[in-house]
Amino acid sequence: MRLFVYHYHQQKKGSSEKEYEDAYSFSQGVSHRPLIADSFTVAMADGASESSFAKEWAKILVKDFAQNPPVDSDDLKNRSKLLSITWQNEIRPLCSDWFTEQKAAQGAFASLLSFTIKKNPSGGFSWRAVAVGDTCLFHIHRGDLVNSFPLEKPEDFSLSPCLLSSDETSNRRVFQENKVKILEGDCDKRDRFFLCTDAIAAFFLKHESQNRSFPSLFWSWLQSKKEHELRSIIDQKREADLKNDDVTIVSLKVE
Amino acid sequence: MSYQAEISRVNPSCFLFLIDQSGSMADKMGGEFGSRPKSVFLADAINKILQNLVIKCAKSEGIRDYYHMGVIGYGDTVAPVISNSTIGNELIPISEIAKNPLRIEERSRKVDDGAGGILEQKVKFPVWFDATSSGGTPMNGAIKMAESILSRWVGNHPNSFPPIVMNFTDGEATDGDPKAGLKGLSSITTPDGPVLVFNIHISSTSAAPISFPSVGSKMPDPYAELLFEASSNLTPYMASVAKEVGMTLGESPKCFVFNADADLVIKALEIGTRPSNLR
Repeated sequence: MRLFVYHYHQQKKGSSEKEYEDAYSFSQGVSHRPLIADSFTVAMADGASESSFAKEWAKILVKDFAQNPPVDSDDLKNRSKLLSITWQNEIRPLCSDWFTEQKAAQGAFASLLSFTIKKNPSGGFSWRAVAVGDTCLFHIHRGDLVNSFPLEKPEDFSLSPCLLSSDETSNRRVFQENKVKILEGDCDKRDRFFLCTDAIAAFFLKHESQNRSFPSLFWSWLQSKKEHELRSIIDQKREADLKNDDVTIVSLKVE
Repeated sequence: MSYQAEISRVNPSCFLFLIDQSGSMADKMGGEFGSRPKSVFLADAINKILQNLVIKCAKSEGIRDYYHMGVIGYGDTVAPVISNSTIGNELIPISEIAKNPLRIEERSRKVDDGAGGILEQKVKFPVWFDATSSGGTPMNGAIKMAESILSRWVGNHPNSFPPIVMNFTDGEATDGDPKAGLKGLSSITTPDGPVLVFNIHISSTSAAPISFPSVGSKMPDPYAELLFEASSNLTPYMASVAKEVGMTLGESPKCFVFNADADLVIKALEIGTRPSNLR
């Protein structure tokens, strides 16, 4: 299986690079050359800016789930408990003030999307995605958006999505109300996938419904490799109808 | 549409609390907080709100100055009850509030142990000002001080979300009619809308409370009528928070509560200070 993988991220306008709170990780190293693998995983997370040490939580999640994608809701529940201990150990030395300590005690929150694509022994390709929250996967087949997961319409995005927390008690709703979504499918050569955090995902869905060539436009932005141009495009869109938030996009094309 | 401005470090918003510290605030709160004086209950409630707002603005790298804060007490004197000698008596950035409590107390709270039982947990409670109750009710003086502070602040922050003033009192002003002063406060305006004025009247009697009544509602007496007329309308976001905390609202609810008990004071504080448009 040959994959072209592109990735781009940009912090919200008015914030520094250090304040970027999304995270993503790959199961193996990625460069501008096509990647050869029988299986490949991307994990992406969007740390909730209202919570503290959300960036650290997002990074811990993607590092683990890129190497071992979650199998099901129970697996995600058990592993997030262990990862929360990692998080607590990492941030404890940083909590020297009363307010940092109390904010950290509330836990960190993040969305999570894990996407794995495999070559089938019998030919063709299959994929599997697991999601909590509003980081989205778009599957483009012959120019058409054939899957939008876990959200399908711009109206599905809300100000308070259900997120995965570093505090176990805050995760009760995630696991008791079946907020872990799983989708599987097949794909062909030249199919494309986009993983996007919420602001750019909502923007993508809004414009895709109005302009069928939008996924190709997105792809060409990423493929151009001219970061300053893409930065300028994102900044322009933020003056229009792209919500001012961290932007993270990973795109894959199957060859 | 008003009250849409994004709250950010570049364009912070502000909260200014005016608190009655007259002699009658020594009376007991009644109800669930029966043994506590109104002044102690209110000081605790506002110290708690300051703590919550500090935590809301806390990030791993420090406190983001989304808000400037002030508390003016009126009783024996009219004066800010939180001051910072490096900044003076104006509104104080929340990062400075965070770093400078008077003291941090250890208090107990009951929490659910997750197994059907209750645990007593020790928690840190920062205190920025202590309760006091003495003298008359120079509300007019406090309102005029607020008007001066906010006029200057709005001049320095022209693109910000409008300031929110919350006036807590248990009685009538003793230094003159506050009507003109209250009107002056709500006439301070930004491009995003005028200052939002809340009037919260606290009672330790069992009189029926009036909470966020609609424009045009009839009030039980001229004093209630004065405070009611001088209160702003709840923004749509604040109205949604009010419904979330269990309030039933009519059309065009006002930022006004009369004969509030402890529960209603706490809800009013939540409705008035829940952050919106925070970047």
